[in-house]
Amino acid sequence: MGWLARIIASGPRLVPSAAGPRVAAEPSHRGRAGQTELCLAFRRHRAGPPARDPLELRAMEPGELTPTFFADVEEMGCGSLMVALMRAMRGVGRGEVLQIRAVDPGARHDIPSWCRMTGHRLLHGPCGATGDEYLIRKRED
Amino acid sequence: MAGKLLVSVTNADNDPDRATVGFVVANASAASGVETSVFLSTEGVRLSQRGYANDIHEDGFAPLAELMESFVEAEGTILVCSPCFKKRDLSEDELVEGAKIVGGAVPVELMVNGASCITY
Repeated sequence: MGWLARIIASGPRLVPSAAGPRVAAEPSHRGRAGQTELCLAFRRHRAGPPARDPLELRAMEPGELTPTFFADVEEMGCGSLMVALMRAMRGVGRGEVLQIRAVDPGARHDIPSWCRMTGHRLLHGPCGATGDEYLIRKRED
Repeated sequence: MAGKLLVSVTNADNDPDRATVGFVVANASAASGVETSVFLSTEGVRLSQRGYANDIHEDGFAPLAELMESFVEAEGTILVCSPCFKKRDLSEDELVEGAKIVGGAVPVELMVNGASCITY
């Protein structure tokens, strides 16, 4: 199991960690025809430095890749994804790294575009075993 | 980021798909730090009334009322066409949060000053 998978599996999915601060609202909506409920869960990663996958981290600079927050936005896409990123980033400190999991097929184009517009730095992604993970460093100013 | 976007929404429950996608794009823009306004005109002005959008929920999208709330949360502005509003005898007391009634000068000024525009 990769380090990201361990983070995800470390607690009930979609429920904020009791140990960590809740850093953003947890908006959710349920679709008409029993669509999956879409929620955001944020938790501070407190497990210490993760056991890194050398293949995954090879292109990254030392010290840059310890995410402070994790947000799983699941299937959110387009405008909902942008709003989810905006809300998630509000709880992240300047210079800290937010890790996102986003499975919408448009996310691999939308997330880099969002980073260019907002000034946050996309450190890596799409990456991970399933190619749906992103590491974003919040802008310093 | 520099730049402005004006999203013109001309439909309400007569075409919920267009009304919804207009606000989806507006959300993408506002949440990306772009100064964004939605201009509600013709049938679209009905969306300015509190509770009107509650029954609009297109498959595959968030409910329209939720999209409108998140748009305002992202500091988007909702402009409501004054003559379209008056023609339909809508109520100023029932305006949704963040909406303001304007004449044509406001959207025109936005566009001549460089705002791009997309219409739904």
